[in-house]
Amino acid sequence: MTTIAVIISFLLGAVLLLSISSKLGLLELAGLSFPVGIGVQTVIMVLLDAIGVRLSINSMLWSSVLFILLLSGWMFYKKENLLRWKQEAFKVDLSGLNLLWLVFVAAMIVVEVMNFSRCVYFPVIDRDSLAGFDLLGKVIASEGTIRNLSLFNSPNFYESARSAGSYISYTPFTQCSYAYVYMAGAETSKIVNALHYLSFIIAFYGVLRRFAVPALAAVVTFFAFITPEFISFSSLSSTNVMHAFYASLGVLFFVAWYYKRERSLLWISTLLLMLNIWTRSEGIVFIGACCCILLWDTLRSKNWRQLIVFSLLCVLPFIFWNLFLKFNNLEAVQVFIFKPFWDAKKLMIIHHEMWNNLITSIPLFGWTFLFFAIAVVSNIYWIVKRGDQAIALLLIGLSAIFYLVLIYQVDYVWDDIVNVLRFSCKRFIFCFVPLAWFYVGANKNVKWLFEKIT
Amino acid sequence: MMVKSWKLARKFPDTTLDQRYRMKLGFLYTYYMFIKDHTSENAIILFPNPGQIFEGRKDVDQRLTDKYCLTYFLYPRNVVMKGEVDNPLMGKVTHVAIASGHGYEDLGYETSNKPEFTVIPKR
Repeated sequence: MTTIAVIISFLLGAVLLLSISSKLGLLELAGLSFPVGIGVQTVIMVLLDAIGVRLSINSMLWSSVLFILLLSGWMFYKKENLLRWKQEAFKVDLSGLNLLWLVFVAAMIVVEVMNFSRCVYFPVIDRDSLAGFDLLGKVIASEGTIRNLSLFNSPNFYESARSAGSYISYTPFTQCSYAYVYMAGAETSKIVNALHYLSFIIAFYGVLRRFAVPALAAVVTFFAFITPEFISFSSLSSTNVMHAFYASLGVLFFVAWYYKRERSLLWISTLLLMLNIWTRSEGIVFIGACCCILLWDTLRSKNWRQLIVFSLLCVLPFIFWNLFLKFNNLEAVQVFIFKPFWDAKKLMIIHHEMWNNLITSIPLFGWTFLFFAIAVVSNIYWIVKRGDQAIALLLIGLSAIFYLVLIYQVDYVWDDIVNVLRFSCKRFIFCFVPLAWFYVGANKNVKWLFEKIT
Repeated sequence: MMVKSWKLARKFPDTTLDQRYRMKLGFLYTYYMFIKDHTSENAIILFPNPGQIFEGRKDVDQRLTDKYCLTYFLYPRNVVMKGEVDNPLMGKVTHVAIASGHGYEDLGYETSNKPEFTVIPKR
């Protein structure tokens, strides 16, 4: 039954993506389908719960199949798009494939086979998931509800569930995706994590291929994929690697839209950024960055409707989830400080932890940010002269600034700020790993150098 | 680390989930499963505070001893921690988890044997 549930997720994602865009490559479609499908299913799950339908594998599968049928109907109504996609996506182009490409693709396959195997073999053992996401997933699957969950409402948990930093306030993607596979009879939820990382490799390579030759895309994807802390967490039951998938690919499809001006790519980016904030609320920083660039673009194009629709759609899941929590009396103590303030000591701690212990840490992030810095410095001439990948760079910079503001505005009442920065913020930086490697692989200087070497 | 885990997975492909948990969590899992096997699903179990459960033991992950982690392994049983003085279930405890010798004082009666780790019904 778990296999059927996963196939349904994949199909739902594929038909939704094809309904939105006929400009996706085959690898992009293959890589995005499962994460998008299961993401949409978690939205369906919360909607069903909100209207009082008991959550079960039957209600989930039937509603998913209904969506697949509706979207397939739309796809066949617009069948010229589908035919165009089929013609483009199945074009076999072997030019650019060389020994280097083969070596790195083979290395990725070998490492991913090992990584995938260990991920699905071992059960959930990481504390955050045992005490939070996986526990919630198991209990949602067992009790068939989110809003009346015993972990939120029984006298044994009522107080602690509403304390600062409680899992009640976490946006629902992770726990609901785990609940979905548990409902389908899975022994552990790790298949969700394993398939997300596999999907990440395929989709990242696919989108990078829009900007780089196959060998360069394979080399860069390999280095992004083996970033030490990133691959280490990919086999745990953590929410951060899945969040990194939605956030980074949402931003990368935004970059692809910006340079190719194919509007359907903007809607793919919108969908991924919606799922990004549905996975972790800090994802707002990437939406904020994209909105800034889109606003700047809109000042020239005057396409205000596009800006408004993009912005509203991106934050819609966050609004919906917060309304769901409010109407069901599931609100935890607020930890975000909305008014501006000045705390030099806090700023120094954030600066010290971010710079000394995270960004420059080779054991955590390997060569990621070193290569990124070299790529930016060496490409300054082309950035200034031609604006080469300046949008990608701006998006990375703006997201990083917004993220620093966000962690500064949090009131760390539930734990020591150093602990939170060292252990939680470390995982948020996963979102920047694919973005940094994308810049390394897509900028003019590296592409020129790569051509010379190969 | 990844290669080591993968080799382990290849070496024992037919292990059950239970065995895989034991491989990773060792005594902690064995103890939690002992409690699960010796209590009914509607039990309300009183535990010593997290730091006391595996006091001084280096072979277990001390972070996996809070109320939510215990609930993960013992669900649908209710877990109450000794420090939760305001918990409305405190007066309805049906079992006391004895861990690292702690908990006998909460039973309300004397027992002839005093094993270090067990679970005992509360009168």
